Amino acid sequence: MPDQADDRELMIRASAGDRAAFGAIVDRYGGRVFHLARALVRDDATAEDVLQDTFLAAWRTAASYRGDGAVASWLYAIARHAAQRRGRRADQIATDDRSLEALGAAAGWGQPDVLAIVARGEDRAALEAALATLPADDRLALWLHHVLDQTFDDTAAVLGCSVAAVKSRLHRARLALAASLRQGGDHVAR
Amino acid sequence: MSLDDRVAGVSCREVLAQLGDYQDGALAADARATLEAHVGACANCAAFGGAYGGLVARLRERLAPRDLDAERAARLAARLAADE
Repeated sequence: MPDQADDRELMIRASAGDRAAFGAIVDRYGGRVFHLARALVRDDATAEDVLQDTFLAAWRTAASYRGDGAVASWLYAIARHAAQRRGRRADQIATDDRSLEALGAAAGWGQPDVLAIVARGEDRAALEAALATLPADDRLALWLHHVLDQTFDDTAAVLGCSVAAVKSRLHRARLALAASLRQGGDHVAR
Repeated sequence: MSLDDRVAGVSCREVLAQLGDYQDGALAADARATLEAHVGACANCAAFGGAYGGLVARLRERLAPRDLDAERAARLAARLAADE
């Protein structure tokens, strides 16, 4: 994970019009933003649009950056909004309203095959396919916290909710992900 | 076998509800000890907790951030350069 103090220094220089400093931010975060976008919009071409939208918006608003808050979470919040604008409404997945107990049962609590989830999760493609069955904000929470190492506070800032809500969302999302992996990625909440 | 089964003074349903906080290291010491005592004596919760923790580890390992590929990075750089 890039150093946050270095990020702020680069962004302060970028806010003064230093394109090389902004280029260093792009180098650090381009891959992270693209793969986050791909998890959200679920196709490469749209994810690349989101990537470009994100860094164009970041460059155009760099002058207003004051060094308060992590650069990473600022970029991820821009990417989330860009993905919401670019994402096709028809592809959106409804909130999963199953109870915690139902999610636990679907994930295999009490079943002999429960540990197969971990073996299936070894396969990146299977993991991505299972993630794709979750609602966008569940995918976003899992990516931010578990893949991009964002703190609970930073994850909450990107999602625009409380830390308690992030923790609850993460728990439900992990259970739903386990359920989807166990069922071969064919469950989509509707 | 039911989520209402009680082992070591706590039900499997309560353990399921607290598993996220346990995984995140957010449980108070006494609640953590209670949960661990339950899991130590409940085969279902032990297996499920292992799968849950293992899945979180797979997320970190298998989806680790990767750099942009060169072509996509070049297109992004060109788009940014064109924005004066």
